[in-house]
Amino acid sequence: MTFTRPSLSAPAPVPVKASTQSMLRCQIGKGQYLIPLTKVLEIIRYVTPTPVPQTPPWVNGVMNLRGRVIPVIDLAVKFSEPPSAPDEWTCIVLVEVELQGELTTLGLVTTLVSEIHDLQASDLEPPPTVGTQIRVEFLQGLFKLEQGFALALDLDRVLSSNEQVSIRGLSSEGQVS
Amino acid sequence: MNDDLDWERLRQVHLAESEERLVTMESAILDLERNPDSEAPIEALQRDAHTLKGNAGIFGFDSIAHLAHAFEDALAAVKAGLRNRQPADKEAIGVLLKAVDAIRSGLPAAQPGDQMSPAQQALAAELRTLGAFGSPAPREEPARPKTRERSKGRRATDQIRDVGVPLPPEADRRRAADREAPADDSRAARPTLRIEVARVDSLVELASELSVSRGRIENLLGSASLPDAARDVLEEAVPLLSQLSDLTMRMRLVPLGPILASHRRTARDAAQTLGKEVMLQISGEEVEIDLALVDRVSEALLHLVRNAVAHGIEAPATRRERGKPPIGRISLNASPAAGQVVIDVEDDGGGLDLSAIRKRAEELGMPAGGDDREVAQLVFAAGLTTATELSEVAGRGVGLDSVKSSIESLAGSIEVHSEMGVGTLFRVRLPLTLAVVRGLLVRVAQHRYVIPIDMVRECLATPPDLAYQSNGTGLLKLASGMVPVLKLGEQILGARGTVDRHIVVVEHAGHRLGLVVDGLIGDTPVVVKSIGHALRSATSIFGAAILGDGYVGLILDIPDIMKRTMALRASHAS
Repeated sequence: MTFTRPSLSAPAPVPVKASTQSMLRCQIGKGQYLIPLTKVLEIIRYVTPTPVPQTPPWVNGVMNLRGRVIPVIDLAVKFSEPPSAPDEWTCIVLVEVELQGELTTLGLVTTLVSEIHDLQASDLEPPPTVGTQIRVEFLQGLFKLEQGFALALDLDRVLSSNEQVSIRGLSSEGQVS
Repeated sequence: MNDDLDWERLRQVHLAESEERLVTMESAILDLERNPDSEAPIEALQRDAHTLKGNAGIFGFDSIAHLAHAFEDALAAVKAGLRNRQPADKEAIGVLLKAVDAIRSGLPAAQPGDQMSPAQQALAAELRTLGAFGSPAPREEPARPKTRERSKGRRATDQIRDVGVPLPPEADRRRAADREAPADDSRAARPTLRIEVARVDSLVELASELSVSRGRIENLLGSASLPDAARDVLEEAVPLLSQLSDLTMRMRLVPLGPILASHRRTARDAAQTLGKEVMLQISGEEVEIDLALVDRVSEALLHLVRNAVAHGIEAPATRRERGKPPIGRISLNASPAAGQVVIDVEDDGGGLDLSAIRKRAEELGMPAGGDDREVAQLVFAAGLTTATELSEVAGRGVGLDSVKSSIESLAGSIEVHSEMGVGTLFRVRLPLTLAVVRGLLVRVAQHRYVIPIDMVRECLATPPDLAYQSNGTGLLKLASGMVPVLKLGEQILGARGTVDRHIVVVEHAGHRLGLVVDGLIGDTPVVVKSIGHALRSATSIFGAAILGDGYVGLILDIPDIMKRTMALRASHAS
């Protein structure tokens, strides 16, 4: 008899409703984002990473996670916004994503970690496809908050891409697909 | 419930063990080829074949068991032949090697209760033929010229023995055996344990975390507020912790012997393809190297040995004309050097044709100036091959440059020394381990970096009159000559506000470079960690290390930094 170990990135085994997905909402730069909770390993207090030469501008450097060397990414820079300025609320959200077919642990600099939302597919609005500069393939959808929207990220895609992108559609030189 | 798992695990262990045995057996067969009238290799082979057969029997791999049985029959016949003063001939050696190959390729696919495949049956029949009719009429003069050369030497000693001169009859052979026999006997007695590499790796991870804790404990011991009882315990723990991590790191080291030995076969096969005669001598089997390096090292040696056979060693006729023994000699010698392993691949062949290399380099538009030593290094340039005909064995012009880049990616270096008509030496230097490096800790701006200490030649204060060009390079006058210097922070690390107080002179592959840094902190062993493929665009960085206080220090890639400095200086000059 053989046992198959459930994949860590599989959805929660006993969903309340078939399509419920838990998302961690956090602020990165000025924007609100949702990250699938299944991708999140842990959240730690911000530590200044060691800068690594010749890496893209959104790579802040590497940090020590209990003896492991983990790259730290500032998505604000990736999304063409000013870099995050660390303060006492700044955290690093450690996520596990698939890069070139390999599971990789990365740290994301977050200005503020807010709360967890249990969302159904119907709670997410499809990202607008016409007339904006949002890179649709990086988004799972939009979630309406009391004020504005939170963007539900497809982390594997966002972190696999090698370009700086304008995800909020505010920058005039954003990359229109 | 777990039968399948256990079975698979046992099978893996069996496969790994058998592979080691097969390498030893190949070596023994090649010993026999060199000393065709010696019984010792046959006896060793008989023991190994018997164990192989027994193990295959335990698993019920009938195909392998039958093959091994036929192999034993063949060995018995060869041995009987020896006793009738018939040395093992080329054919017998060839069939025995073929059998080793067949067992090797058959093992992974073997199933309990399986039958021999038609190919295996044919081979078993061939082995038995050796057994049944393997004693052809005694030949006074073996037909092949190569065997003649050897038997001539033997006859000479026989004659001496006949006239009763008290010369140690086997002195020559024994000396040869000392050099060539794998040093297995000394190791065989020591009990060993097979451990999955992944387990050792997690142990190494843990040990490196512990070394971070150790650093923190040491800091704590420096503070006065510690209660005596706690101080006693911690003071006791610190040396234990450092011993523990040392030992753990050493668990990853394996002896080079089996890797070196496996290339006797490489040399033999290449020589046979090219109609040459080659003898591979091995020394330094006991020298150890990190397990993580083994595959890449073996691949590099494969290229170098083939290259030596194809381009180094001359054809037997040419060798005779040049007054050399017709059997070419290649030696593979490993030796330890401070924190490094040096592997020499040396042949007594024709040497590099430097004028041809110079000419070819000029045709390709490469700079081909410099002295002979520098010109010789051009053999590592991509696309440069001077061999007039391309052979199957080596010489497509892709060999040596890929060997070089593979070795450099392991933080090693390779250089070539050659003398026309006398031979060629390729010297490979590798770090003892990729897991631990002794590093010189330096400070640039507010960050700390690690420079592998093997490469550090000297450290000095920056002379006040040192002038820099606009590209951050300059020339430093040392007693030993002029050395280029580079502002490390400004040019490589993107650091601002450096004070550039010290210069660390590093040396790699015969070149020196002075790295201008802000401060020298000290030397320390560090565990090398990968910065991961997520940051694969990073350059000039060999890896990262967790320092005593938990800070991540980057380990500098000195060869890469040297290349960049050269490019900077070249672009400035033009």
